[in-house]
Amino acid sequence: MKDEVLEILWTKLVEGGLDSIGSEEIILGEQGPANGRILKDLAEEGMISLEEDRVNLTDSGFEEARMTIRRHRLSERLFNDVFEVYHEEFESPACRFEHMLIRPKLEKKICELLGHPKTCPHNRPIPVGECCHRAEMRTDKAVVPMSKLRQGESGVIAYVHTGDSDKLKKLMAMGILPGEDVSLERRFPSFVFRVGYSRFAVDEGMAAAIFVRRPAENPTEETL
Amino acid sequence: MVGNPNVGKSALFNRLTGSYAVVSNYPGTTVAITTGRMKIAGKDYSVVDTPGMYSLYPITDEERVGRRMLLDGGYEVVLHVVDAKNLTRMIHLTMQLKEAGIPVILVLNIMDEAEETGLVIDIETLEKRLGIPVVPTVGIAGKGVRRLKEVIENYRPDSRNFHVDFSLAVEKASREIAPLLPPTSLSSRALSLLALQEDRDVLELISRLPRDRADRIIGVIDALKRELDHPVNYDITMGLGRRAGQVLEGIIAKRERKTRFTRDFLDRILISPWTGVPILLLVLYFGFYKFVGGFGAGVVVDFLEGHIFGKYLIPFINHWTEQLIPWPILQNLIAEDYGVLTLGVRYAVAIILPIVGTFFIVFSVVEDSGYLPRLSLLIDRVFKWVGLSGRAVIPMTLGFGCGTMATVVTRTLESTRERVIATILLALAIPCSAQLGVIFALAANSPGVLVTWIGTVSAVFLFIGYLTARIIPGRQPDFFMELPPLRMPRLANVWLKTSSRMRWYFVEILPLFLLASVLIWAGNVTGIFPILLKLLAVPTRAIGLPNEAAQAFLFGFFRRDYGVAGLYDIQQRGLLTGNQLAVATITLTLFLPCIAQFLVMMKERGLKMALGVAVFVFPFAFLVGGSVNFMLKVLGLTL
Ligand SMILES: [Zn+2]
Ligand SMILES: [Zn+2]
Repeated sequence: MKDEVLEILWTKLVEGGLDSIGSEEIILGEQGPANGRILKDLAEEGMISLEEDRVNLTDSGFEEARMTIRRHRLSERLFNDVFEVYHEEFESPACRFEHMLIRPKLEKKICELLGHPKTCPHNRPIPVGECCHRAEMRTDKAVVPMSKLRQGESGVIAYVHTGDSDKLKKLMAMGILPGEDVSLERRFPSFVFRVGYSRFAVDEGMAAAIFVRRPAENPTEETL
Repeated sequence: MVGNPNVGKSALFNRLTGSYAVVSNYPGTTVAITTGRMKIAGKDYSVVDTPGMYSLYPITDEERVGRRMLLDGGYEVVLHVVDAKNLTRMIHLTMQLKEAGIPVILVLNIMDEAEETGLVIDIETLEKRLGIPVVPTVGIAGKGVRRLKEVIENYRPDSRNFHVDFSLAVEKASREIAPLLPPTSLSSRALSLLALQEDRDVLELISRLPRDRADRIIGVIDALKRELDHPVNYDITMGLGRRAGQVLEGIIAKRERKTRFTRDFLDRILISPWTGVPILLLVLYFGFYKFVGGFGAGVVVDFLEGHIFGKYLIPFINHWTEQLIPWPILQNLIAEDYGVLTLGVRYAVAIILPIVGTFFIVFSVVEDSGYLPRLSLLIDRVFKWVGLSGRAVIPMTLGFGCGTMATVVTRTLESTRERVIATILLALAIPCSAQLGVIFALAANSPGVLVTWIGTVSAVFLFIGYLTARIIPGRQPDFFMELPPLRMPRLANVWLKTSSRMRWYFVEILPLFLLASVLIWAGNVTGIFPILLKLLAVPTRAIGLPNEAAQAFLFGFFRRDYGVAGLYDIQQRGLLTGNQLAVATITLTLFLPCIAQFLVMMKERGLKMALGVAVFVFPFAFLVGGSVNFMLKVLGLTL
């Protein structure tokens, strides 16, 4: 199957970090002859480059493989988390299911349902979708700049925003990232707060760039 | 070795190489790159410690230095040293290094504190997921160092790549430009990501490419910027964060954290202004006034200068010079009032060294305890007023030790504007420890003088700082700083730091003292000095000081502390009243920086700036001195 070949190519080339692989690695076993034909098809579609039997992904192939992997691992997550069955046991229905995810709307819904998961049950990374991206950047009413938090209050960093990207870079370089727990210890003479196991001191300008979601006022945030 | 500040890199470096480097727990003190030798199983290695680095994408000049070294290559393996309890945060750089195809070993340092915090890290799984060796260590105690050496010895680079997935827009842009970029020791993937973040060094590499290729790359970068409604950096950091979450999934277990009441309490009172300011004053009083001023400049100087030099060495040197050298001119070069041995060496060894030495002891203790970052946050608002951020506490405090060293350390400040302001203030209103020590000793019996001196110099500091901050264009600096936990200073570390700083001082400064006394000798012999003294005597008298003080000012030209020491001589002879002493110390403090500081200013900020400062400072010092004299007279005060 075309998808399987693309998935193999993604895991070997992109995640495995090889520059190219020999076509013989794909034309193996039972599926060998069929895979050989698929390789030719993919080359014709401009998804892969075939030079002296070395296979590599083209740009459009890269994109296609990335989405294929995303759908595959998302469906694995779905089966594992929601239906509580291991993907391997239902390899073929899952495969069929993956194809349904080609509809972007469904893919997005599933991803949201699962809370924009980062990994599949085998702990392999799920390529990011647009929905995950937007979710990370989303703002809501419970989010306030840290400079408005009361002393002793805590929450989760929702996002870091500031007009100048210099401040942003500094905060990010220190590891002050969305999703991290944060608690404000002190507002004066400088803002002192804890993120993870580290403590930081910043001035008011920097504190105003860190937006924090207060936990109590925001019980459910994800909407389906 | 690369890694964040505060991860105990220098301590580990010392353990690996057995040689010394200044060990620091304050961000940014490791300005210079330190190189040491290490031997494993008969094979020689050269270990290079880089300045603190948060990510592959540099923000400060210091980080840029480290990154440039990574770009240049020429290393067998890179040790990424992290603070084990902050692995979640620091693993970003590990992944970036791995993705860049750099041979890397992850060193989980300060493991003892992580364990104390209740963290348990599954190292084997971490190794498997990252595809690199991971070694836990406690650098300060030397734990895990042997194992680390074994791992370095048996290190085989792993050719598999490590892929971090970013947003589709970034991925596409990265793939488009990667093949167009020039080869470096970083993978083209990593280089392309840096290019997309418009990294200065990588853009420069690109600008050296053939025109059409460079234009294509810039085109892609611009298109990406238009496509995203946030900085590219954001996507990259988010991608790294996600990947970190995946790599660390299930690896870190946490047990209950032991609360440490005393440390938390101490921490609280240090950073609250109500208790913090009194504590600062106590530190200044006991650490600097009592220990440096009283013990260093008093007891030790009295012993060395009055006893050893005054009673034994000087008469001995004078006697033998007269016996051995028949020509008075050469006698004066070596001995007598301004000789290399009797003036240069005496000042350097008997007066300056004890003072600087005691200062460095106090500074090392303060630095090791983690007090400086807390002082930074306490004082940030005041410093903002003079155009600096709390970060400038380190060069400013160091300036009380040695202005020359402090001017070099202004490099750790973020913007050129901040560096310029700090340099000016260091040259003008921050007396170095040698000056301070002698001033404390001079004013020991007249608190009025001390108060006048402190008040005037602080006012000048604030006033000039305020003015320069308004005049020099640019925006106010940001203040951001990690607060390392308070630590009990270790005697061995304090000793290591103090001795290496004193060695630095001795090696750098002693030759300057000798040079200065040769210049003074030459000035006397050629008759230039008497003329200059006459000229200087005019403003000196104008501000109500005796002619002899002109000599102190002239000597101060060569070494600021030389001048104060000269003043000390004058006062010992009973030539100064209280008022005159106050005016003289103020004028001398504000007066030109010493030759060494002037040269460093030239090197760091350029000739124009150094000359500009000199031209401003000269009349300004006398103006302030004169005003103080006038005010004291008008108010009818005698100190
Ligand atoms: Zn999977
Ligand atoms: Zn999503």
